[in-house]
Amino acid sequence: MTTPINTDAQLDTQLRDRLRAAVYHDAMPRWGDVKRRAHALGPRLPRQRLVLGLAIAAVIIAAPAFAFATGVIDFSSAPSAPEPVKVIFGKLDAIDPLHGPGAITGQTKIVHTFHTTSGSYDLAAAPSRDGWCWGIVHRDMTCNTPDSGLNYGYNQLPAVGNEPPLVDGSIAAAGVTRITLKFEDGSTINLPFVQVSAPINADFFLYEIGPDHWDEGSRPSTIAAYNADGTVVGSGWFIRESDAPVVGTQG
Amino acid sequence: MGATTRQIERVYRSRYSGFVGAMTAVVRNPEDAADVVQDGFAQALTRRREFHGAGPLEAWIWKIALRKAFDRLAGARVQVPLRELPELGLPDPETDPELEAALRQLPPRKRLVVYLHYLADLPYPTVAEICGISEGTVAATLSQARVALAESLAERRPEPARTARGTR
Repeated sequence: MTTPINTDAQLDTQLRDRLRAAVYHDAMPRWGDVKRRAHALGPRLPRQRLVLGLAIAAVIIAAPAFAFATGVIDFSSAPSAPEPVKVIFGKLDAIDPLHGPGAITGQTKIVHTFHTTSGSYDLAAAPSRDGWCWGIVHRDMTCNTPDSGLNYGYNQLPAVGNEPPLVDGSIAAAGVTRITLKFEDGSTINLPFVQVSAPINADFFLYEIGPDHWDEGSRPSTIAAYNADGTVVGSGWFIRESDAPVVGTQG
Repeated sequence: MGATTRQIERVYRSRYSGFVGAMTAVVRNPEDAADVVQDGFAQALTRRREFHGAGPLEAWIWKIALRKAFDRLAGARVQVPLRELPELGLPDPETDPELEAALRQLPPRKRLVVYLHYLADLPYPTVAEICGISEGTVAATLSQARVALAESLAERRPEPARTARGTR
């Protein structure tokens, strides 16, 4: 412990050795546990692109009754999803066999269309073994359970390619009255969301981040869902690649 | 772009020991450290599409894991801004009291750089990416930390026992 220190290299070696001895651990890697925890967080399964072309447009045009702006959407009266959407939902088990959400693909429906400045986005949903599977057509497909909490996705800013900066997500419809997005500049916005009735029983939202919130310092920072009592029932934050602790030489 | 599950798993399997080692120093005990690392990688898995490849994947995962650690240090229900560094842990004073006392002299920010470099074996560029500073600042921070530690360790080192010959 008291070997004389003569050079930076010796100090480096001694520091490394002593630090490692002082924080000794015998933990072993457990990748399976990481995947289980990821599942509990609400897995965001690999993006499945759908190319439906006019078929999906025809379905939407033919079924205007489900195109609510907000409110409760009656799942039973929503139109059946095009076959390619069902196929993708059916593949979710193969994509993530550990979780095996067990989407009931035959009941996949297009339940809503979100309209933003960059276009319209169709929301597909299907009941699953333990909850529901959902996705924005041409974007991600994923599955949640009632205890998944707030599951959300975000196209990070700055936008890459032609990807619009969208925040979308879902949470079990357990009395959620408000879903609030907070920005780095301290401002907040309550996101419009829709609720889909049984057997889905979940709330969904999709919001396009406006140019006022594209720059560093004003981008999304946290998101939270509240019930009528103001209690947070689900929350999360947005990691940025530029996000880092400030480590200056001034301590 | 996004990262794949396989890429994240590769980082996990190849760098696990460094993650837990450095995190043990940050959160003060190995059990919490292992838990934070598991949570950090789980979060990285669920948010892998947010990785756009601006820096190393490992640095991106470190940011997520450190955020988990800082949140834990501040209390489970509080979201700590990543730019506000909480008091970081120190090695067990019973294991190495000299080192613990020397590290205690360092501000948390320098301590984090020391942990990431010496315990996680991270090169300067990766430490720089994680901490949001330049490589030069990492080098300067480590140099200052080395000097401070050397001085502190020297002050605390017991006087060498005088030999019989020396006392005559």
